[in-house]
Amino acid sequence: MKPWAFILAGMALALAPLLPGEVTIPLPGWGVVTDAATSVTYVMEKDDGAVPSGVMAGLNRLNREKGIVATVFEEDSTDGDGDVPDQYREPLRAAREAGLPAFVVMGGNKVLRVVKAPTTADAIVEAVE
Amino acid sequence: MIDRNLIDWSPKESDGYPDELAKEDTRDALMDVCGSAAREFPASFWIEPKHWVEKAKENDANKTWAMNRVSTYSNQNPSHLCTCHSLATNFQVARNIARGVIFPDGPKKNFRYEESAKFCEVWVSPLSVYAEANPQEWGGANVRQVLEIAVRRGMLPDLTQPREYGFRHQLTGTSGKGNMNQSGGKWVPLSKFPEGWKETAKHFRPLEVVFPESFEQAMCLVLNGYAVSVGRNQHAVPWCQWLWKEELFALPDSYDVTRYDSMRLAKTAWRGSFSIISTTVPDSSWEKPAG
Repeated sequence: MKPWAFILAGMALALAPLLPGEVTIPLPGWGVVTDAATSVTYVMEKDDGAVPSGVMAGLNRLNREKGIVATVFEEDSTDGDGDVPDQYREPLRAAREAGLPAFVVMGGNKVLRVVKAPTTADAIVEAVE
Repeated sequence: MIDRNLIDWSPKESDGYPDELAKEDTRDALMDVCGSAAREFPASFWIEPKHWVEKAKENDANKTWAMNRVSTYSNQNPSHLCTCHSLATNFQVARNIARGVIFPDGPKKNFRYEESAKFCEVWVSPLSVYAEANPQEWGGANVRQVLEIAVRRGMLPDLTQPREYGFRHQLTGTSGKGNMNQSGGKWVPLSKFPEGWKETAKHFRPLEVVFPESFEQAMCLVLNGYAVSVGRNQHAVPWCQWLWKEELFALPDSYDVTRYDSMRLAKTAWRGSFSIISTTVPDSSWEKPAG
């Protein structure tokens, strides 16, 4: 990355918390940092209970109506190589910190919100609004 | 009104699950072959029988039955792949739960949901398991064999997919007829699988498989939205919904049709049943299912 781009990106990041509402900052060479939800994950461990029906309905609504990648991650799941999938590393960390089950809202690679043990579709949808 | 001919159906001759193979499918044997993937029924999944109808109504309202995770039928006719077709449906249900996608009306004949492509569903090949379980092609395979294979090395994606994923290895879905969402065709022996196929198959493995110890536990799995694969009357099928008014289990049968099992049959058929609770998931993105 060129030095001027690096400085601009740093300034944008520093100012982001001061800007009102939804913020999307394009960073040259870094992809996008955003405060809008881009993906959500209900992180659970089956011994704590199955995914509540309301949660599944809420995830389906987010997938269909909001264009957000809304998924379920069972704590012990892995990718084909037996590793924690990259796309779930951060949601898993955040959910474990809060205690499972937890609903993790991500904006790019940033954790925006964690809701502990939601059970209804409305709770899922409201968490991203 | 449900056609009585669709209830407790079984083929005139075994279509892949003859009694001599079925008798090997004890719960202990199945748990043993699944090794570290085998799971006891989670106590947290238990639903008191007095609450079954209430839970079923909730699933009706939210469309959260396993049947709502099934986007398409399969068609094994006239092959002997029933245990593998049931396994593939069970696997796809668990994967679609993880993806968070609901197909509101369940499977419909000669129909493809747009959501299958949009939400990155993957259709797996029952033949990719059966070809190893029974190299003779005809005669069927038991659950013990096919589960062991799927857990150990996974399944290959069908040649037919809802979208282009760039898979390096795929296989004909079934040596039966297939349909618009499942490729059918000639038998493929294991020796003719595409070179390096295990590198793709490893991305489509069951990770946790629950084995109920009673009919009531099998019912709880269905009520919690999972498919329960059972073998009965020489035919293997996945229960995917409980119709509480009719007291029937609905199942997407591997003949392009939904059929039903009565409670009377179900109360004996649950033995040797299983539910896949979790599967491998994509590493970086659901749009790249095999990396």
